[in-house]
Amino acid sequence: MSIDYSVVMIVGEDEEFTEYLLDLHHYLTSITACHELILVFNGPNESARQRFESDWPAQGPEVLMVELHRKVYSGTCLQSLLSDCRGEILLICGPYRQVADEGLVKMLNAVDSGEADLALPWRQSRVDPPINQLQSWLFNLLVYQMTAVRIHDLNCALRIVRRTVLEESTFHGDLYRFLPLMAQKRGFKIIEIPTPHVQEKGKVGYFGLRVYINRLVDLLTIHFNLNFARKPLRYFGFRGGVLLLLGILLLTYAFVARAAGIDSLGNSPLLMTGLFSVLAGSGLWGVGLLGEILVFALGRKRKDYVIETILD
Amino acid sequence: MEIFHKTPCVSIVVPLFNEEDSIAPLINKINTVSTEFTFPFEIILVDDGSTDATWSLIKQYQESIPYLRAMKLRNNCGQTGAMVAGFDHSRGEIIVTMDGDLQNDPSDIPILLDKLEEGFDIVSGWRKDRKDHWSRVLPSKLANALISYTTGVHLHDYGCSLKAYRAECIRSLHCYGEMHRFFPALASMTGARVAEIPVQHHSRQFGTSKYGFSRIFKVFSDIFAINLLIRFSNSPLKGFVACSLPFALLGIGLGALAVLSWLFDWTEGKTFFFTVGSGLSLFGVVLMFSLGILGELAVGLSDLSQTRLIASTNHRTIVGGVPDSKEAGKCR
Repeated sequence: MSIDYSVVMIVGEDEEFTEYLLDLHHYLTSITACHELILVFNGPNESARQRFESDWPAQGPEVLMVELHRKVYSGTCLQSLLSDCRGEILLICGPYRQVADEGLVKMLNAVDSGEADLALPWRQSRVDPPINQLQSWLFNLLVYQMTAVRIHDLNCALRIVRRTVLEESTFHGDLYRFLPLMAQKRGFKIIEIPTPHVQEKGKVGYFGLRVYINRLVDLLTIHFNLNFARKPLRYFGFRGGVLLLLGILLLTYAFVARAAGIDSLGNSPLLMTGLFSVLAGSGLWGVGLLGEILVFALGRKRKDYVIETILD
Repeated sequence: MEIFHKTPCVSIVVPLFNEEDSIAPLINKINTVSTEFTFPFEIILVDDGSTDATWSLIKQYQESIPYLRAMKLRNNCGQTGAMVAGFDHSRGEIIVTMDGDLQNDPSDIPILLDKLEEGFDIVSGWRKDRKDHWSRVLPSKLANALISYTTGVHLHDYGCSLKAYRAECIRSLHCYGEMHRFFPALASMTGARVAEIPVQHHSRQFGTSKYGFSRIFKVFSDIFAINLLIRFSNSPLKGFVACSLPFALLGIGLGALAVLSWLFDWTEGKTFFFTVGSGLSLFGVVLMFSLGILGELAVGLSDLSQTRLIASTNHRTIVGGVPDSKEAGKCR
């Protein structure tokens, strides 16, 4: 029997999720969609697992439970689970209902009809604290500025995605958040569905310096991956070249000034500044060259193209 | 039409991006020249994510032309990506590439194939009488001279898309990014024999050019990268050692000055200053060495050496088989 949908619920903390999983099951049953339920405990979560086993109706549908031995990034979690998912379309969600069901229906329809390969909600009338909304807005704006891809809400856990998108896109580490950007780069159709926001749990306000730094590093990674992954020297070469040129000019001036007796070489800051500049420029340029060699040596066989249709 | 049921010997790969006006004349021209072909062939049209009616027109033609195959890419991934998609799905032993904007003339294909039969692995077209504006021709000439000089593969027109390749030669390269201009130079890494012949060039009749000034900067950046790859991808450490030489000289020079200033009691502070300068320079040497070793590691993990071995083995077979024979390179 072919499965249309795989519902993948990823549970991290000790939360209540049984009712939401049942609701999703009932909805998919009501539209006669053949589906499977997969519940993933991201890290050891004995209490939640036991509670779920006791709460889940005895006559309820079958649920594949996966308990990871340690907490990993969502992307890593999904990649390891992909071979277990039998559905052509994956409904990936967190442990609670974040958006209204009407949005979920529209998202499912968009992917099911072929209008989109990946659908994500754009939370409207948000119910989380203003400080969280502000941070979310700033983050999405920053993503837009750095990648030129306009997606309004990358932070919602709910996503409906065609299996091929996950198979053909790169989202290692913590980059799953940016899957829509990578998928769009690969030519998949992305749709944002404006949906009323109904509930938000988790931290309020300050998330911790580590989280903000990690997000910025992720953004830099995604900016590089989207634009320069196949041409690293264009990224490093330009920046390194500017520094190298500046350093050479400073050093030349320092030595010429010394020869002409205008300035002392040993006491001038130009020598050291020029050296630093040349060193930094050469380092960047060298890293770019190494990147080119890495891509050429190890990444050549990866296809740049994705074929939509072949007529033979 | 029996001929079209045989395995094609020549695959004509044409990438297309928003070329709805060009498709009909392009296919007509290829059809006309194909009457001269005495071997099975196929046309592979690659729609590189067009947003106009290109794909629907291709579908119409595909229904009535048995030797026409086509593929639509999910998004616009550039000329190299489209060409490589065509290479990967071609069945011919020889692959001919050309632009879909009618600037190349399909009637030149037989001349390219004749040249290939002389025993070359790549025959590149040379738009000797270009019909482009000088603002495109001038940077192009400069780029061609630069690529020729630095790579040692002397061609007048790297940018001409009309080229004929032995399929094994071009497929083994696994090209990516925006490498299509450099196919002959890259293939030379494997020992491929490259020839060039003048071909016709027509000014663009329909649509607009997909090239702009920003591309000039990118092309020059790519020339630099390709040169480095050709020279050093087989032995990156050597390349990085060469890059570290200026640092080594500076480090030694400043180190000598530090010793002299210490021995002869130059102005206070100079010894420290020169010592730091020398240390920084020598750090540059260490950095370059480390990058080079990482490069060696990457090359060691890759199958680059195997690719070269395969290509060079094939090349030896050609030379040792029937050199300069009319039979060399003919489809059997």
